[in-house]
Amino acid sequence: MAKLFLFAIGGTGSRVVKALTMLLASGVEMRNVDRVVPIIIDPDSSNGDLTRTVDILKTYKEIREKTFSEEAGFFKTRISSLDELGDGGFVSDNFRFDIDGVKEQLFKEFIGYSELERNSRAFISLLFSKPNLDADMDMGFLGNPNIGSVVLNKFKTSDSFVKFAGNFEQDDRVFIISSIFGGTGAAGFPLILKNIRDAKHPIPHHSFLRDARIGAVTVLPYFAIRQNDETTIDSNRFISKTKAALSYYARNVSGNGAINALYYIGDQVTNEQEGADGSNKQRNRAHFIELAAALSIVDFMDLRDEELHVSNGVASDPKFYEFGIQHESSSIHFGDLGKETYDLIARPLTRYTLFQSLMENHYEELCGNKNEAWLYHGNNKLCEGALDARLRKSIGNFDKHFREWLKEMADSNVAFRPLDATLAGRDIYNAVTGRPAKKDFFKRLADGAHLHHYRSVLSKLAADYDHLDSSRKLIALFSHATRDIADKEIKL
Amino acid sequence: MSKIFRLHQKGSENIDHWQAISGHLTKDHINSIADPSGSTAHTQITSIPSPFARMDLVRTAFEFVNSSKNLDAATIYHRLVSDCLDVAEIFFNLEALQDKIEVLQWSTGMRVVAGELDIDPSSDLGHLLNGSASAKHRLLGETMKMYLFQDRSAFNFAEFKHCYLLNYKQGPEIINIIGGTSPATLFFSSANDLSYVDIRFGNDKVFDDHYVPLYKRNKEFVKFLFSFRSSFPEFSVRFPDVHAYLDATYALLDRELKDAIRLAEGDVNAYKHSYDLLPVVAEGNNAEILGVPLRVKNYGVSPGTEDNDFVIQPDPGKSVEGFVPLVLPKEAFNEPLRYAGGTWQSSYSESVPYLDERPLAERTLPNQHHIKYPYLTVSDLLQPYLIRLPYPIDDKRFFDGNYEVRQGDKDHSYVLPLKKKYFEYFSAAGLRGRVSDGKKRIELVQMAGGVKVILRVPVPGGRYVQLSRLYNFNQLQDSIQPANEKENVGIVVDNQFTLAVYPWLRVTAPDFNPHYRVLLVDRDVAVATKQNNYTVSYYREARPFEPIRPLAVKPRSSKHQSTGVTTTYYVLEENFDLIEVVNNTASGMLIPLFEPLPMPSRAFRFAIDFGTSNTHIEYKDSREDITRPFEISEKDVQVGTLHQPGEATESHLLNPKLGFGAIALLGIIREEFMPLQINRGIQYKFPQRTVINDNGSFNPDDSNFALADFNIPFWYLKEDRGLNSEVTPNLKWSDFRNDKRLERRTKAFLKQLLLMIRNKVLLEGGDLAATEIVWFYPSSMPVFRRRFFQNSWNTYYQRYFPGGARMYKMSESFAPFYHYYHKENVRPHDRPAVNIDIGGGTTDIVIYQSENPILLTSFRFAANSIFGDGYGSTSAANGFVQHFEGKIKESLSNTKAGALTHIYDVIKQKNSKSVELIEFFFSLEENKTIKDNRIPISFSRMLAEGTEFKLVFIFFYAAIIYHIARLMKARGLAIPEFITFSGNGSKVIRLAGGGNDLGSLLGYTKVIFGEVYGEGAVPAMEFRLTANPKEITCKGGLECADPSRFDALEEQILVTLPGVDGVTTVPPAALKYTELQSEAVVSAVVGEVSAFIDFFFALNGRYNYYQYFGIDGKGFAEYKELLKSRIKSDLIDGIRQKMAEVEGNADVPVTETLFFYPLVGAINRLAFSIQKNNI
Repeated sequence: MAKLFLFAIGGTGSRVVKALTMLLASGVEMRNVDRVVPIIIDPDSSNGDLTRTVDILKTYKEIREKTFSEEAGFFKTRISSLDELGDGGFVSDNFRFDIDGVKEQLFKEFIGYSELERNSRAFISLLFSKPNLDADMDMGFLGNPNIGSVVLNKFKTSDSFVKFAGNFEQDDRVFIISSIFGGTGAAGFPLILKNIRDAKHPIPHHSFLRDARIGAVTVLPYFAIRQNDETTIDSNRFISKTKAALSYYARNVSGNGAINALYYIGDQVTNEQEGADGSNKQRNRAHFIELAAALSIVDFMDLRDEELHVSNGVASDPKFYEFGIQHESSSIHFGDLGKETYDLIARPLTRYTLFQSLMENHYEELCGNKNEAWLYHGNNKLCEGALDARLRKSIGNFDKHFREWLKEMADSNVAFRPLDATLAGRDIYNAVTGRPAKKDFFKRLADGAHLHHYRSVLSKLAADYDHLDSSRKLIALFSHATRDIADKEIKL
Repeated sequence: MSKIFRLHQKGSENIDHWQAISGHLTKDHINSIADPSGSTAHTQITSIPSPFARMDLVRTAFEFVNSSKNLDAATIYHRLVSDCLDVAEIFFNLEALQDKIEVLQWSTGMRVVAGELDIDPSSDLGHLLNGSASAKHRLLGETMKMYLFQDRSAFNFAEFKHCYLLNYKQGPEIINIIGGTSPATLFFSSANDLSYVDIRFGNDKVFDDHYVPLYKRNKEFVKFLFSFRSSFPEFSVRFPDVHAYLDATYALLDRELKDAIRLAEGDVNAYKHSYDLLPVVAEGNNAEILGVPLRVKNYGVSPGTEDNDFVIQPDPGKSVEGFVPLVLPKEAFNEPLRYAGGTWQSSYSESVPYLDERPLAERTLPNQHHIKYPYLTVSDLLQPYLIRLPYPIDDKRFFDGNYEVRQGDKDHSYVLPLKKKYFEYFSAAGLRGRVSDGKKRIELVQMAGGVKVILRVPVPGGRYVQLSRLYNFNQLQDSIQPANEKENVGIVVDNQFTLAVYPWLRVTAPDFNPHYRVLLVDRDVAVATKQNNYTVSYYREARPFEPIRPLAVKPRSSKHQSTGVTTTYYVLEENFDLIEVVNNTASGMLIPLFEPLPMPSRAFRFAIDFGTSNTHIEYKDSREDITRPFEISEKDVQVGTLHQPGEATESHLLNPKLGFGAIALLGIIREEFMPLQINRGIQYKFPQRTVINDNGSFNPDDSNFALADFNIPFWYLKEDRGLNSEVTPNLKWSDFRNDKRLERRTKAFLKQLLLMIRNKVLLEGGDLAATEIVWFYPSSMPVFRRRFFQNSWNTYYQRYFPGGARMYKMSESFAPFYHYYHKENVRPHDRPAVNIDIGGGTTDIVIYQSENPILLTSFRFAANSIFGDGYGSTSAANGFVQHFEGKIKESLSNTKAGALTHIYDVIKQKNSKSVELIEFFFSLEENKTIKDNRIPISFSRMLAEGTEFKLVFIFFYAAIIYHIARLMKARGLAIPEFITFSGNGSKVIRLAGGGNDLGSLLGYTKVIFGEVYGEGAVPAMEFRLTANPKEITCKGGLECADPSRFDALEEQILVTLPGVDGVTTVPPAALKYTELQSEAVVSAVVGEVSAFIDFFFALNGRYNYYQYFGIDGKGFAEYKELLKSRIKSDLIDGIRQKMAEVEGNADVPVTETLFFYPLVGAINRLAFSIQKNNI
């Protein structure tokens, strides 16, 4: 089966990959692919968004390795790092593409400005402003994609790129995630696109690359930076920059058949993020837009191969997409989503919320009760001692990210508040906002809490998965139990 | 209500989940994105993910501006468009901006090889891609290459061969690229802060916060862009955004410009023909955009000044070649005048320099550097140094620059600190005038620490621009502070010089040939200025850039020698309107103010008596009957000086602060040049000693000029001058053959006389061509010598009196008769009249009957025979000198005129000829110092009252009368009825006669005639001797209606009694000079002379010398012996001298008697003998 090479560029790229990972963990299905290979490109290696995403990806991979089974609903899609492909030669630290020799130097040093012949120096000084030339590479490109277009091109000569190319097969696809208004993403997107389309000898598989099926989401502004003393980013100019970049895309990306499918998304700027010039301070709150962007990847993978025809490096019928929901709201619930979106994510997210809620809030306590059937019955017990401690830790870690993710989206503007992941005990089925569990049920178990029902479902189904080892059984069990609950009790 | 997560306002309103839309986001979508802040954002956008982002951004900006339908807004896109147009306009005006901008070139090397795009390795990009390039450079090159290839269709990169880069030379970095050409939008600008770029178009500073759409820009530039578009194949495809912008611009243009663009559009060659190629790096390598040549403004074509109110308004009569320059206000000026397509802003003045070192034609306008157009700075018009003169300027003759002394004495003045460039545009008359509001065009304002010079330059509309420069006083003692024209700091320098211009008059008639002499006196002797050399240049107002070539420039004295002054004479034969004085430090202009001359309507007649010792000139208006001596009064002064003449100036120059001897500035003019006045009221007057002055070292082989190399020293014997003077007497008779200098000197004397006459004629409204001149010569002058004078006089007359045909020569002998006949009623109808004209060197006798001269004779026995040195003797053996020298010097030394003795000593030292010393004695009674101090000294009275030398005078007189009587008798003439006297030498008649009562002398005369004629009863005889006998010749010459007839008459009546006997006369005898040395002739003459000496002493018996003349007869025997002692040797000396004179012309009949030759020596010895006897 085919692979999806997912280039995630810059902070937005990381956040969208995070959102995608959450969706995949929740059981959102991605078609036509058996392996997602995220390649995060961000020269700002200490970027908070990046490190968080890398952590999540590693955790996901670890959990999936231990829990994958045909019955699993969560963590189903395989995510691999580039390293794992082909001969397995080590090229990078997992998911991140490291650009050598960028750190601790200025852009002008990076390009050897002072050593240029006079004419070239003059020309470069016209193309790049003095602040451009004096930009410190440690800080990303500070919203200067024109710098990025040169720096990131180092990618082209990197081992990662060669490895990517060497592993790219005819049926594989590429998806590129970037934001248009920042620095790294905006630059990296056309650059990767052009490098793929421009691939020539001696790049391996260059003919595959030239005609690769490529999709991309370009994230337009959806938040503003709160001005403070620590940033040079002026979000007031996000729109101006976006328009300029869009114009460039119109001519050189979207308008020239370079891409097969391009997803546009953005929102009126109402949301403020604390501004920071990259580094670990850049850790922006998750946002619904990122989730929607992640869905574009799912959507892209939904397309059939024949819809993505490329010949001589030119897509014959490029497609363009925009994203909408059914109801405008300052606080989006599942009910506000478009039907397709709802169908795609409402159940998985609810199910995973139920899963993590139980694991987070009640698992340890229930383990104290040896009568808890789903924990202690069967050959492969799920209680504390039986379950792989490392896996438990990983799941705990992942769940924390998940909650954080949901919480952040809920606190953002536009707020996405379909679920309350903190609910526990008797209210646990009320996690879906605006859709409380059915009343008669609620009455009937007035004091028994939802938890009781939850435990009974688990216990009822546990035996069906006893053929799986504890780790796989856990995920398979919860996948199915939560589906029942979502379907029957929450009636999604 | 659904929500779509997008920014734009276009497209479907129904989007559910991810839903396909009809196409990608195009500019319509993009433009519909509301940008709350972008429209005012000032920071440059850098969000385009390409190294060529900047090019793309500019294109986007055009797109945005076009779709906004508003070319005037203040969005960031309007800014980008405005900056791009600034770049375009800089390119367009490159030629004018070369001092600020250089063009660099970057080559892509883009080419097609075997159908594939490729990069030429020798291009700039190729160098980056080269295997030997550093990895960094290779990455950069690879990236650019990829974008060039991938984005080629949107950016026309396939034909993008070169980017031409504007490097602003005066920016903060080594390289300051402010913009360049673009394959997408023709031009694009840098994203950097370009506020340092000091270029303005119209009122707009480039790259500033004031955005200017194309339609508001310079019309020429607008037209150029349209023209470029028309000539560019597929412009609308290549540059759709610029194309649309131009269309939007066109709609907003005025009708005139629209028409012009439309017309040019129709002409396929308009672009090619109207604009120049732009060579980059090398000739022939011309800038292009996508292969179409990028042309630029042709600065050879008039930039047009119709939109400019600062074009200077030249004065009437000034036609400026090429562009009429501007003059820009450096001082506060807030009138909203039009300036280079915009309006003058008061802040512009700050950028107006005081000095622009570029040639006028290469200049570009301040605040409008793209406009190559001449403009004048204060330094173009005003000098860095202001010359202060140590005297008040003669403001009637030279323009004083409207300088007024507000404090202190009027003991100084300033030379106009103007550069001559001023006069290319403005006239001297204009400069002296006023501007429209009544202010003076120039002012020199006295300030505490210096002088402020204000210049008001007229511009049209009755306006003017005021320029000024402050000149600080030089604070250094031994040097001159440097001026700083850049900072407009001038320095006042003290120079001591003056000018004397001769003649001070101007004739503007077109065919008139002027003869000017200008004397520059330089007395810069201070430490700071002593090295100064001066150059004076002269200009016609019509051609202020081309100095008039002087005919000659003659240095005469040097301040580094004892004179303390340097004199330089400029001989000019052209009129001039401006004088430029330049020394080692400073320069300045002088504007002479010549007054209009009266219309030439009078005819004058001049008579010049060029005598051996003295020269006299008389003249008359032909319509009047009065003759006057030649005079220059204060009303018709011929010399104009820079300094105010007069005692006030002289006393200022005696101020010790000027250093000892500044008065020499004035003194040297009198000494070497011309006195201001020559008239009876002062001691400079005619008759004047026939002497010429020069520096003794002039080069006679060069052209020599009167009043340059030479001058007539009117001060001679009168004043103690002679700083650098060699005074030469005896011009009439000096032997030119041995010394060319003598000839030059003699000619110079004649020339100066004619120049003075000429200028007098001009000043008095006379017509030069109608001026008659009579000159005299003694009959005894050999023909060849006479011819020399005739040639000289004629030549100079022709030169100085062009068109004149009335130059006459006349024998000195005839002239007095005419005077006596016509003016003194001497009408000898019964018996003949005799006029005896005794000069310094010759005595001329003419005998006439009624009004007809019937006999003429002339001989070299005159005043100098008495007072001179005989044959080869010296003043040491001169009785008069020896007798009176001591007495006179003693008399003088006790008076205020004691300094005059110095004059005497100098003359004696330089020229021991007694004649000069005696002339000095005679001149004393006329001397100003003597007169002013009422010192009772008179040499003629001493001679007349003393009896010591009376014998000499009587002897002299007797010899002449004796000879005349003998001649008349030989020719069968009756004893004369009248004897008249003329000539300066006839003053000795009074000395002989003992004063004014000539009765004794008349009686004595009758006795001599009686004795010679052998008649006891001599008929009545009358004497006529006037107070000014020297003037008689001239006066007579003026009376003679037709002097030309005397040429023939002279030959007819010239008779010589050679002195060999009492009978033979030539003619009819034909004694020739070649025969003189024969023994027979010599002994005959000796006999005759000896007989006369006997006769003379014998007369004492008939007419007692003591009784009638107070002469004691006790020494007679001794004197007689003395007189007779050397007759023969004196005769031979005389003959030899004569033979030397006539050498080569000796085979002609003698025209002079030999009788007086021995007497010249004899009389000299007599006087010396008497002096010895009277010690």
